[in-house]
Amino acid sequence: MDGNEVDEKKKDVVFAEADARQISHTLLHMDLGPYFVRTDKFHFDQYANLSAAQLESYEMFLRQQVEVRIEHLPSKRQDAPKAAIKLEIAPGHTLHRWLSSCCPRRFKENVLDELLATGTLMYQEALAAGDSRAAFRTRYAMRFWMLRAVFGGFVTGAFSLLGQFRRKSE
Amino acid sequence: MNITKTEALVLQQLVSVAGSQLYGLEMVKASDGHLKMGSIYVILDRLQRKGFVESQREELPPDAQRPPRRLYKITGTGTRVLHAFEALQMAFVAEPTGA
Repeated sequence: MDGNEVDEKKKDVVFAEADARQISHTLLHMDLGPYFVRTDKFHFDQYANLSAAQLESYEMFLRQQVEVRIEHLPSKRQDAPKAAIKLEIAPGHTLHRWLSSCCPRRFKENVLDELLATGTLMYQEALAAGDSRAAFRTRYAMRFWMLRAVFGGFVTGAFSLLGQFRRKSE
Repeated sequence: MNITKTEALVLQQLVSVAGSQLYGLEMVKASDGHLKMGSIYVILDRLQRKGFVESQREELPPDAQRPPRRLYKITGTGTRVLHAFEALQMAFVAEPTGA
């Protein structure tokens, strides 16, 4: 796997379809502090031999930031194992990173970081309670909250500036 | 200094816990739908800039599974402003009936 291929996989969901007898993929999320730092490589041979208990303990090892699922997908090659691994990193962090890059630092620390922290907590609580509907709702709601906060703040700021300008002109 | 009704609602939530600290999520849950998750932290940020609220990050163990949240607490100025706002509201409501 070369460097360009790694960069392409910097995203929420990574799909890797079984090709021949080996799968490898790398997740790089080094810029989100100690909570999301993960650099993992898997090989299909290693992964396929894991028992259910080992998979469960591996998920615990990943501290619920990554969901590991094996899904059976049709493969292009007849002799290839028909399996794929889907890794899903804590929801909302990609949008958080993107919005953080175009918002003031104070807004990021006081609003976006809080929304991500609260959303992650709610998501983990829903997963722990086995409430998949609540988990599904939270993972998309937190993106909506962040977008609403940013664009709502932008509109409020624009009106505030307009009001100040009007008062000065009077 | 002016505060909006929503800001007053947030300050009321913080006064109601008598000086202890609250998370944003707790305020949303306690507000019966008047406060939304998408706007609560924007309001708290604004109140913080005005000096009515102060915050600190919660302390989590090193092996915590999530980022730390902020705990919010009302300041003395915030309490005085809320009382003034409530007095003004009561005067505004009482005036037409007294006339």
